[in-house]
Amino acid sequence: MHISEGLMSAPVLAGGAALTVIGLTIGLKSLRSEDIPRASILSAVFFVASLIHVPVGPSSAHLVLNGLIGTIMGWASFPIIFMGLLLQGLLFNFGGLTTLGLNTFNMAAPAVLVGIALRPLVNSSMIGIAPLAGFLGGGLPVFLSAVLVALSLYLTGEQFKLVAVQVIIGNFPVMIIESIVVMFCIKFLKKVRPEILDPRAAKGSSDGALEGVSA
Amino acid sequence: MINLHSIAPIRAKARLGALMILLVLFAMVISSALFSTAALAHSVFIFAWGEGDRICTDSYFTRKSPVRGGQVSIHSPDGQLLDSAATDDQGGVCFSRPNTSTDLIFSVEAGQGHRAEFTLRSEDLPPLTLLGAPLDPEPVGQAKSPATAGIASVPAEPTATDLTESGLSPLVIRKIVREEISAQIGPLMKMLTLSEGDKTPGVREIVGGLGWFVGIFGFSFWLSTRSNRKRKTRS
Repeated sequence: MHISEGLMSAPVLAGGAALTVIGLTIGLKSLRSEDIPRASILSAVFFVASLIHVPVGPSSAHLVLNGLIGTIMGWASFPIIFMGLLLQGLLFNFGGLTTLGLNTFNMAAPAVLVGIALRPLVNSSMIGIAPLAGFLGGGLPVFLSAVLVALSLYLTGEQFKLVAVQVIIGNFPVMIIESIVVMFCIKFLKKVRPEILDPRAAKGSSDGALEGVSA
Repeated sequence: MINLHSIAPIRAKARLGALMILLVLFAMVISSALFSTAALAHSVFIFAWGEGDRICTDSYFTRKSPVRGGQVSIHSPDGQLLDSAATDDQGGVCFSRPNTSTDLIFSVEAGQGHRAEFTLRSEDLPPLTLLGAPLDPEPVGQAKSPATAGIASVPAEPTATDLTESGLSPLVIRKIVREEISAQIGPLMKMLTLSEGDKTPGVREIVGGLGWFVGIFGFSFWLSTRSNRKRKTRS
């Protein structure tokens, strides 16, 4: 999922970086002081999750967890994933500083999109709907990110068909795992701390407000 | 986690939040430490070293997951492609030594946008002239005379004289010795190169990274309380 340095053409990198700057601006504006602890934890989780490997054929894939971040945090996914990728780049040599913008966009944009689209479902009080939303919210962003990675490679010139298939197949087990992980996360949070997911449930309390994110 | 329901929600919220942060971080450190002992990482590495008149490479995601069938290319510093081949099941591939004395840049393409580079400096390889000696007629002549002179003047060691008497020229002996030594030294060179350049993240990097998050968390909280205070004093 992380595109390495020295592979992409400059226009693709610049485009990704520009889109990430926009995402970061919106994300930071939506981030309230109540959200900071959650954002930090999710960022740290994202940072560590990439170390958990799923061997697939000749290559290997790892957990991304952008779906979890998107479902819980919405637009704030951009700064969260940006920080995680920055430290992965500096400490683990995953990705790199020149590809930071592009990689952030590839992982955060699907997270935001799916997270916001599924919010009504996550907040639904009907039994079974929220976990289903969690399942979709976990897997879909991984799939869409793989598509974006494939697209970035294609725009640079590598054979799109082959690489797209490689990336998507490579991340398929990750997709399944994360769908299940996020499904249980949503189920758990809904039961224990529903205000994390639903701003309406948090009325009157200072914690867990998501109004800024969903607006 | 068990007490989540029973704790008075508003009063204990702050304490609960802090506790959860600590718990999650603790769990992450433990799990990451466990995972990292299995050397789980996500990045590609390539290393190259000289083995006699060959140059061998090793490419891997982690020490336990080699790059299978990845395309390894050798470029000269000015970007000219010198050679390329695919890795075997152990992630290794060897090339015959390109006939240049410049640095060599090795790169591996492992699919899905995974790529790594390694520069083998020319001073880390045995000089070409030494390797070329048996094949190249000119250095042969130079090398021959001191060698034969040495053998003639020194009160012959039995083995040396035996060999020359048996028709083996010193050049052939040199070639055999060289092959023998490179076979012995090859694995050692590999070990040295790998241990020198190993960049797979360990517990130190992971814990260090988590520390950064704690720091950034504190800093952003400080920023937000500062802006809150400003708002309060204004109103």
